Amino acid sequence: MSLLSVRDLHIHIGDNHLVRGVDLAVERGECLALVGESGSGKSLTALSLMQLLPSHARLEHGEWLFDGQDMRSLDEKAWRKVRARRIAMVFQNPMTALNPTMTIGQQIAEVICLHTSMSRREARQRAIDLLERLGIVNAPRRAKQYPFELSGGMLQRAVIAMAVACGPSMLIADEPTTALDVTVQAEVLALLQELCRDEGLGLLLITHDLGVVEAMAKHLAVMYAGRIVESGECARVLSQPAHPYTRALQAAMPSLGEARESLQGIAGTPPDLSRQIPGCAFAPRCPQAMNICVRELPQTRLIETGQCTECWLWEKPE
Amino acid sequence: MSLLTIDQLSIRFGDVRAVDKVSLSVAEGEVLGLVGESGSGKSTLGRAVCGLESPAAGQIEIAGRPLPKRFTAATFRKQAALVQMVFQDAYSAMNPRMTLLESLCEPLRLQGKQRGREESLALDWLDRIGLPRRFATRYPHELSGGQRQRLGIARAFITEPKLVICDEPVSALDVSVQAQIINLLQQLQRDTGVAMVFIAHDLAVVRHLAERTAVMYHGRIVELGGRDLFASPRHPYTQALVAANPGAGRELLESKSLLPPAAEGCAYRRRCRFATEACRAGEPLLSDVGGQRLVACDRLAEIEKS
Repeated sequence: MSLLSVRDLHIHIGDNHLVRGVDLAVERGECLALVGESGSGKSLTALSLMQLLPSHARLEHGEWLFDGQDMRSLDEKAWRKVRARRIAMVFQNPMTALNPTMTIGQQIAEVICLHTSMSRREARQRAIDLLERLGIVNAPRRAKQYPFELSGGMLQRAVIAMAVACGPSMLIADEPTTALDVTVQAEVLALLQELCRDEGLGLLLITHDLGVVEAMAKHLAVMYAGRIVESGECARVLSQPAHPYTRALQAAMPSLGEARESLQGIAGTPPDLSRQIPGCAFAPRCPQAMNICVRELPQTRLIETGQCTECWLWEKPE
Repeated sequence: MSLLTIDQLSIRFGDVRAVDKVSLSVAEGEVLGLVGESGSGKSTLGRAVCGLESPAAGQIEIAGRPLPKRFTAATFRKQAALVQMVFQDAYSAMNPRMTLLESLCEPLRLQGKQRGREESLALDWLDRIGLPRRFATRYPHELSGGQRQRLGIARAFITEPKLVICDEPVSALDVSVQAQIINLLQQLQRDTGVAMVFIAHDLAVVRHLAERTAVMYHGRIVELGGRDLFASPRHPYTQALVAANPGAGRELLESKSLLPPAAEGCAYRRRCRFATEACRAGEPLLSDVGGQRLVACDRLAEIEKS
């Protein structure tokens, strides 16, 4: 059984139907990457999994199981025991995720004190151990420093230390390396990989960088305008993308290996989600769009290459 | 002939040597890439060329004219006629109370170029950057990130400068929009023949645009080369940068990014996997290693033999 499984997730904020029926499954010890552009609903999806959406957001689920437990029925009190202890989150910008008036060590220890029976002293020691484990040299001294005294790479390590401090079984990382240099990014990703492998953590990695996906994820879900348009094993999806949107994303990325004359931008803009979209949301920008694409939503189907996609191109009679 | 010549340029912020004895030249119509981690001094170098930082030592020459030591309003305007800049955050580079049309006319008016024709030229530029003319009366906050960056680019190009410094112009954009902006820059560069210094931390983007690329570490250029730089990096730091790019079956490499640069000897030696005692002495200088490549590593021959 999957560690986390969500079926038919919908999120409305005001008149906007921002997440429009998302299915996700995260396995223990594996990384699922959720890819999409800004506004595709990937961060909202992530926040909803921690019950961290603003109170005016409306949620609907077909199913929401975490570790065998139905999460739909939990109240806020119960949620406090889930966050950090069972599911933890790493945000994009470590500077805004940390309290500028507390030292790094205090902040990590605070999480530990809140969620375990450890004494303050033990918690402080555990914080230092965690920082060391995450590759911070001279951890006892660093633990006594404030966020502004540390580099971005160190701060993101501190945030990860905080996230894994209470031994959660799932980690949600929302663009954890986007604000970092490539060299630092490589190290932070390697750390996350190690945590997945050693502690059997399920990792939901949200990113817009297909390179990061390739290096990290076993499975991949591509999101567009609140729906998952393609999902499957990472290697398959990236080598033989089935949905025109996945292909467009790939063509838009410059590559370090091969030379390209010009890049292919995706013309147009994502749809207005305050209106009903009867068909495929990508159709207005899709180079292969047909009449039916605008009218009716295709079914998600499993295709020969092993991934799931929702696109009328695969519904055509042979 | 080289349009931009930087000679032994140093810039200090207090005790920090942001740029340290950098020499570099850019030919007319050339696109030079500038890469490196944050804090490597690449943005500072770019800003210095625009006259936005004051050098502690060294010289910058554009089109044969040295950059004035002290700017007055008049000399700054003269400078702006030659060099323009495209910033990462287009929104904060604009006056939020000016319409697009006013924003585009402003640089022309300041430089007294195209007098009387400012507005028609501005409208032409809206066409060129792919924004509808009806946007002329809109304000920057009504634009998307990509559209704002298009406007930022138009503002830089409209006065027909000789050199445009692009400081991370696409880093804040989504990939699909990023591709459009890169294509636009490439198109404009080809059409106008302007020289460009393209600063970015994304190696793939730089490789796509630049004919030559300089790699900076701790205020210095450690390697300079043509398009083959990324396929065959020779300085250990460039190798680490290339290897850190995720993707295509590459193993994520540890690059010891948390270690600070060394104060003496080769600044990179603490992170360098080839470093020995010998690297503690001397400061490696950028030297020609053949094949249009310059590398600043004293033990390059020794490393490459092993």
